Amino acid sequence: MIDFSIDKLNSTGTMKLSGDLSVQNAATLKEALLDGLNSSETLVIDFAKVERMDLSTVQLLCATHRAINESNKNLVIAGTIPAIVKETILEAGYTSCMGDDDMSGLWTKESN
Amino acid sequence: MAIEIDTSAFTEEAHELLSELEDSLLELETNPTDQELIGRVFRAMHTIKGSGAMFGFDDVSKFTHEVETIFDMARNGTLPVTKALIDLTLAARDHIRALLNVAAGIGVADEAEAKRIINALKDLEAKESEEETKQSPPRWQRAEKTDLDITANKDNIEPQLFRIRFKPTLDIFANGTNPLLLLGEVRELGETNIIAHNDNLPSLAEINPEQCYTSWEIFLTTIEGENAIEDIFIFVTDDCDVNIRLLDRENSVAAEPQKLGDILVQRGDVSKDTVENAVKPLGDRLVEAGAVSSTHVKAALEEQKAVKEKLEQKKRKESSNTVRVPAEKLDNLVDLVGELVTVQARLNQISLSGGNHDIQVLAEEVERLTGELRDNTMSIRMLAIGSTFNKFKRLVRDLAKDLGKQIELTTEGAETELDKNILEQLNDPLVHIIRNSVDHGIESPEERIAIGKPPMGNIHLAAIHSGANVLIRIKDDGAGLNPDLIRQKAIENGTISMDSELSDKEAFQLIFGAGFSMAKQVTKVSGRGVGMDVVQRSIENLRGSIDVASTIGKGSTITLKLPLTLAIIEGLLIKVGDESYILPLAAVEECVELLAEDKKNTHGRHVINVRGEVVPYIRLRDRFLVEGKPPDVEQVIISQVNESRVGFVADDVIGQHQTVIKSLGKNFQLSEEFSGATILGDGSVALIIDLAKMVRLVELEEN
Repeated sequence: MIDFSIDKLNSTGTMKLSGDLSVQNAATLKEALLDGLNSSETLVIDFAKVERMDLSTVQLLCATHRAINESNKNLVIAGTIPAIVKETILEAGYTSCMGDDDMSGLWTKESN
Repeated sequence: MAIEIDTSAFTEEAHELLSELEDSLLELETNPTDQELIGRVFRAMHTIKGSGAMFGFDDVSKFTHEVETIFDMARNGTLPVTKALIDLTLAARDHIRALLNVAAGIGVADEAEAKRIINALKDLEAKESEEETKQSPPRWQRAEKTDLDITANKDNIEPQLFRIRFKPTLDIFANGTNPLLLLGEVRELGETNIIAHNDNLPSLAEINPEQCYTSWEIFLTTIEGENAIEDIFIFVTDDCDVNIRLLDRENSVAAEPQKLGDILVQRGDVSKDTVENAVKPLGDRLVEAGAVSSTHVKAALEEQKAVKEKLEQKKRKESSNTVRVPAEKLDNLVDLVGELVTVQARLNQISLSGGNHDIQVLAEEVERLTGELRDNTMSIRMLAIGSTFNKFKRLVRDLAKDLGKQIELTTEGAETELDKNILEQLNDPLVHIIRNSVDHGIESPEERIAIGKPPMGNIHLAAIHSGANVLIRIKDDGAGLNPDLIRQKAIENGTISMDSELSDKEAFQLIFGAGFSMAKQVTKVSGRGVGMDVVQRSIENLRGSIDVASTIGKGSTITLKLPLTLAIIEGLLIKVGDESYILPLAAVEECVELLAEDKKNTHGRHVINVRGEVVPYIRLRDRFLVEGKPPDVEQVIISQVNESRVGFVADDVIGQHQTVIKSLGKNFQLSEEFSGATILGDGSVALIIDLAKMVRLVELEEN
């Protein structure tokens, strides 16, 4: 469900998310994101295999994004973003939650 | 003191907008999903409404508002563009024009018609919303429809704008409720704009991932009532805070959108003072934030100012590029130029006989300038025929609908220019011809399919320049004219005798006889036998001619040949006895001499051999009963009349002449072979010969 690996050399953490990302697993996801953020300068998240997602995850992603902006770290979205992810974000009305956005393609309207 | 407002600017604009509206609607009929076109229709109505109210045309404004409101739904995609909607909007457009005419003191307003249109439009809208809730999900929907009972409030079919504030409790997830599903249900009610508020979202470290920190503000435009919205949240009332408010439709749609600050204050989110303190120019804010230096901001502001000024200048320039002038003033101008041309001809004559070189130079200069002035004045009066063509699109559409036919009108050469007066007088004849094509020409779809034609008939309108003339061709792919039937009919009603032999072309000319009708039965459209003779007369009054070609089963082509202008023509000045006459130069092909021995060789028959071709001629001396001895060598002016060559014999050919056409007074109405008169340089009058009419009169007399 969450597969995290870190490349110590350039401190890039890669997080591959898959399967069910709904409220049941939200606590696990939160810990993983927090760890990933603390251990790496650049956090790469890959949503390609996500099959379910709900508001709890959207909130976590939003919080992660804010934390990254505050700490001057980088967030990179790798791989294709599945429709379910985009749709959930859209349905939640989180389409333009932040202005200056390096997560473009996920939060901004262009991604729809 | 009452202030007089000049409303002519509005009426003119409104008429223009109405014709634009008509064009757009007709186009929309073929491309019903074209958003751009729907927008154009909407804007035209919106402008009529707005400026109508401004100029005190309250009836116009009120009626247009009703129609616009419903068309607005089409613009939003809530009402599909159907034929019925276009029919009604076209009818509404006609009613608006009638209202404008009433304001101008013409006719009376048909209140019943207005009611009928509005009611029918409202029915259309009601039907649509009913159907949408009953069967198919609306197009904006993405999620599947739930089994939630949505009762449409039938009394209230105007779409309304609601603001819904939806704030779930933190623990809503724990109760097994997914707020996103609720949002989905709201989406199904209409068009939504959903904004998430996540200001309360804690930092990643502090967040409880199983709690809901998000609240929403939803703007919903729906035809459903408030109850339907409440129903969605009915099972979660304990888990959330829901506030539904109807935003006044008029305020939200018609008025200017409010400023963000005002909205925030109104909603009680911030105080007025806070907003005022916060409102600082962007430049200052950027400088404070250290993003740019103040000099850069200044430079950018300057650039902005310059661009703005330039745009405004351009706008001013564009609006002054065209000038509206009442047609009367133009007519006066053309009259004056005509006088000037006449005076100039006199000046020329005097300068030539006077022998004064300086005056001759001056006269030549005046001649050149007059010529340019004349051409310029004429070109001002020229209008493209396109607007006339567009009117017929509507005619064909309505007639075809009445008769249950499918007809498409295509046009070509819409940019061809014709004198304004000719265009105006061309309208009625063209209406007659097109009606005939629609009624008698094009077959019903069933008949067409049976004989292997496409069910959709075509009428093609084309305008082509040809020398000093414009050809207007009306071509249909219908049944065509049957020359035998026409002959038979003509014999029946005694137009021709049993034994007369007519070529097909001559037979076709019979349809222009007064009272001639081929229709088996009189329809609403045509068949009363009034029409084609009137058509021919009006075209001839315009100094034009009309020609028919037709193939049975393939269709007919009617060609109108019209002069470019009615005011001034190039003429050929000739002399017969002591009198001068003018022949239209456009028809003249060549001049040949007629010697005494030529006359002898033909044994008194009026024909001449022109390079092997025998050309009949009319001797003007005989025709006008001029006494006295003709010159030994007479001149034959060979002209093209109705596609055959005819000679006109005169004593002498003087030369080319700028002919300002003056109409003949009532006393001369019976002398049909003259289309007018002109004043020559020496002040004498020369009659202008109408060649086609003279030929016809001579033919009639001989028969």
